[in-house]
Amino acid sequence: MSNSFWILSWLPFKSENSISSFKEYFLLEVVSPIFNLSFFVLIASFTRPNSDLNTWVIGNSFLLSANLSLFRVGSIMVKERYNGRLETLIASPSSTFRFILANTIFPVIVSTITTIFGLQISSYFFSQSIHLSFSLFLIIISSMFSSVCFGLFLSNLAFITDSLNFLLNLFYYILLMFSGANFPISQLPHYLRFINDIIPLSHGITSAKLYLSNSNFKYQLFLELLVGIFYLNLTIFFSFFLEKKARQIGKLGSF
Amino acid sequence: MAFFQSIFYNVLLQFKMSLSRPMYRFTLIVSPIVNTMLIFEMFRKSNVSDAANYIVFGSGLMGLWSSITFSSIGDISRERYIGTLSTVYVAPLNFNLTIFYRIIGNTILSSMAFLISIISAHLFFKISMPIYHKYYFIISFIMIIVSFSIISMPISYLMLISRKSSLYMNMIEYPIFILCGFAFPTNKLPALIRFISYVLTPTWTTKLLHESLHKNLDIYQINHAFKETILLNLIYCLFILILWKHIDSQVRKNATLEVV
Repeated sequence: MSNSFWILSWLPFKSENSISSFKEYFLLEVVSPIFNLSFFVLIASFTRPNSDLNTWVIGNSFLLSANLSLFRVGSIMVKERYNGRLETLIASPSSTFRFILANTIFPVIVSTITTIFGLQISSYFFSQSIHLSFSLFLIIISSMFSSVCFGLFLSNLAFITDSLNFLLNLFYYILLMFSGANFPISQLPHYLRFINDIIPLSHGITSAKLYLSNSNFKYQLFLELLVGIFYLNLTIFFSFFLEKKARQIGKLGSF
Repeated sequence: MAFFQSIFYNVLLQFKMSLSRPMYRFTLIVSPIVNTMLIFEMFRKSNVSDAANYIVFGSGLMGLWSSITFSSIGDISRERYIGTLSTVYVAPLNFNLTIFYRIIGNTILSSMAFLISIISAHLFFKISMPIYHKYYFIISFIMIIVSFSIISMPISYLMLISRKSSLYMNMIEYPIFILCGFAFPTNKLPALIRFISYVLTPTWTTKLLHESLHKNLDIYQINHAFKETILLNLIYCLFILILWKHIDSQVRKNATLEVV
């Protein structure tokens, strides 16, 4: 990949985070999500006192990435519009897809680090220590990829709506409910279970649980990757379609 | 008369301002519904005796605190951003009173989260919440409104001297859920952390609420929680008075009322 691609991926990430000091960044991106994780694991320890808390630790560690992939990546286009760069981005000779792809690199790296950190910290406090192997690393990075692709897909909605923050929060709750991190999907009504199949992280969480119980996790890992690729393709398709729509309805500018 | 008028118009203004924001409406309406569903599913098949209280009132308390976090406390940042914070600060009506009235208005409005939790628990899961001792329940509820309003004050003050509102708002939401035992009893926490819980009024108001919902009242526990709530609120008020002097001088020295 060319040097300009790395610059293209580094600069949006830098512009997003340079306002905060390292301490603030760490508190917001790592410590705060760990509180979210602890809350749900503590509820699980109260409601199921004799259960192995590893299930909740894994699920909620994976969900840590949702903060970054939804609220940071998901609002890329909103920020581009707010800063007045969206029109320039559309008009530039460089492809929008290249810009979108470049935006996945650092969020995937950071959310992988956050998830690993969360997994190690929470497993130390709440359950048996989880050893990070290559397979588990592969599951985490695949899940982060699909999660970030989902965030990119949502970021495209900024072309047609002003209420993206509302939508991002709604999708965060959907991940919280349907990813299988906090309760088994079998508890949900049949007609809602399909949501678990089409959202990111759910297959990754299942795959990690299977891996830790020494079962075959590869099929679920494959499905997680497939979900990521599906959302990446959807992003490419929608960016083209919604860009056209935004030109028609005049949504490229801030006002 | 002017005193009551200022309360009335500030509370009314807060109602209008809060409800005009889509994000507030989302936090007030959607968040308690989803929290009720999530906590219900987590408590399903558990052997917890008063699970219904934790499901319904736990999600109500979570909704109330989230609304307070993102509205009462976030309002200072919003005022700063739209450029009205310095005007409100020097207006004839005491700034502390303006903030307190708005916090009260917001807490009253945000307490609708309880109603939404009760309705959603009944609609989706057929959970009904019989109130056996309505006077105790009403007192507990009033104590929640008062205590949550008082605890919001020092946190709002911090927003006056810092522009990192997003950081603070995120950092105080879930820790309070955990420390104050909204969805599980505080005795599940390690002893050292429990010490922090005991100096937070929401811990005692939550306990008061749970105790008042039991069919067989434990008067000793209710009295204990009530006294602790009153005592802590008085200490908080004293702390607010001392803190205000420091904040007022810091605000003027560092000129933090404007965006830049």
